Formats: sequence, C-alpha cells, structure tokens
Amino acid sequence: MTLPETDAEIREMPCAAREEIARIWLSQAATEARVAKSFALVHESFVALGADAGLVSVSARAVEDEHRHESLCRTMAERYMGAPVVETPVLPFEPPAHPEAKTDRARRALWIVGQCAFNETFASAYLALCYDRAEIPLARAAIRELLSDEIDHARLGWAFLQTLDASDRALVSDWLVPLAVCNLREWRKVRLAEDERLARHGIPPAREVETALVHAMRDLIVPGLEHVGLDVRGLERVA
Amino acid sequence: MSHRLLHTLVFASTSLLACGGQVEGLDPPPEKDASPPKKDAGAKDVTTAPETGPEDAGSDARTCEGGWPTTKGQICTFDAGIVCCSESWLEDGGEPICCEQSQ
Repeated sequence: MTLPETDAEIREMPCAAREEIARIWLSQAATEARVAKSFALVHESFVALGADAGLVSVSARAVEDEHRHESLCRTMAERYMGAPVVETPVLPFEPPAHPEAKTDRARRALWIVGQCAFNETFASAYLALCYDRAEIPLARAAIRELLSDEIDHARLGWAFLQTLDASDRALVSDWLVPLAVCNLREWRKVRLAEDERLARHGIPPAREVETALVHAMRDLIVPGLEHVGLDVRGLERVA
Repeated sequence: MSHRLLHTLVFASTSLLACGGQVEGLDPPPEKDASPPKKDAGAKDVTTAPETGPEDAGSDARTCEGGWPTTKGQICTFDAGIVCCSESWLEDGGEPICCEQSQ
C-alpha cells in the first residue's frame, strides 16, 4: 500500500514523543511477525481437518498478510523516527497446547476458534477503536489497512464455526469459557499508553481498550457464538 | 446493544466459504498428528499452570493455559536506547528485550 506523506505535525513533534510512538509501531511489527506463525498453524489445521476450500485459501493468505503487516508497522516506526530502524525483534511463539483436548482433531478445531473467532475478533475491535481515535492521516491509513485484514482473519473462525456439525458444536461449546478466559487474559496483559495525546496517532488509552474488549466480548463474541448455534452459558461471567 | 462489527465479522463470514455460504459438517478427521507444536526457543512450558489463575471460571484447569499470543501489546525496549533523528536505532546497540506486562 502507499501511505500518505508524513504529516508536518509528526515532523514537528518532540523527539521523545516520536520515539515513543516509533517504539510502539516496532513492537507491533514484532507481534505481527509472531502472528504469522499462529496463522501457519491455523492454515495447517484447516488443511488437516478437510475444511472448506475457501477457508484453506484465506488462511494461507493470512500468513502473508501478517508478514505484510510487519513491514507496514516497521514503515510506520521509521516514519515517526525519520530514520531506519533495527531488525524486528523475534518474540517467543507459544500457542495453546490444549493438553486436555481428547483428539488431535478437537485440538485443531480449538486452535482455529481460539485464534480466529476470539483473538482476531478482539484484534478487530481493538483496531476499530484505534481507527476511531486516530486523526493523523498517516496513522489512519495504516490502521485501516491492518483492520481490513483482521476482519477477514476473524471471519475465518466465524465461518468455520458455521460449518461444524452438532457433535463438533457441542465440543466447542464445552471449551468456550476456557478459550474466552485464556484469550482475554492475554489481551489484558497488553501494556498500552495512558497518554491521551497519543490517541490522535491511533494509540488509545488503556482504559478505552479495556472498554472495547468488554464490549466485544459481551456484544459481539457472545451473540456471534449464539448465532452459530453454540451454547454460551457461562460466558456471561467472563467479560 | 449490538456491536457494530457483529454483521461484518459473524453474519458475513460465510462469504469466505468456497461453497457460497452453504454449510455442512466437516469431513471425517484425517489421521494427521496435531500434538502440541514444538515451541520456539525461549518459550515457556505451557503444560504448567501460568502465574495467574482462572479469572471467573471456577476451577476448570483449562482456564490456566496461556491463550493465543495477541497481535498487540508487546513493549520492546533496547538496552542501549534509541536516538531520535539519528541514522538508525543503534544497529549494534545490543539485543532488544520484549516483555509483556505481568499482572
């Protein structure tokens, strides 16, 4: 994608503020690179499960999307720094093991639901908030690009759920509370800026992110799970 | 109150399906190994309970697992710092350290 020119407002920012925002974008580049590994596992799982060809195809593209996101986030860091940045840090990759899943097939289904229907849905809600709060054209363009892909990545999970038979729906229903608790815990570890002045650069304050996560859980994920025929009892305690 | 993304993410998700939105059950499972993946160097053993316990879900041990890594929220620092407006973020400035906030 072609990003807008760096705004004069950015060039005129104090160095410390530019560094802070650049660090956030470079950190996000690292997490985007890690999520490519998550989607490699998701794609492998769609293939192994004999899932719909459309889901297999889009999940393969998702791996490429995440690498592209890394590049975009690095570019954003460089725009704020006004200079090249170091290599993207490599983060440890630690997907859920689900040792209590009774079969390999169940584990793969849980991976897809956990990564796509939960994690990427939270990511979409987070980015929608970032986009709403962003006022700088450069930031809005980058966030819009990220969000458009995250939506498809979340849809992978929701579409997959709609392909499940009754037996698989019962299995996934039994795991909904653990999946929700574990994923929300990861999101609540997120350390975000508290500086309201960064919001116009697409970095909303932590309290707004928490509100967005709760809203997404209560008014998006739970109704979505009900829509696809899952038993959501117990989830009301999670959000 | 309905979430503005509910239609986009959930209701419209069947547009991804090759069958054009007609859904049916999955095929019988192929016997391919899906044992827990090998972890990258530095990853913790996820079969042990993390420091934080279940939140609101009673005593279900499954809630003690780590979730999928988020796409945001890592805070990386550089042990030699960064220099604004210099040519780079200190290419030989040491290993970056990335850590999530522990609760």
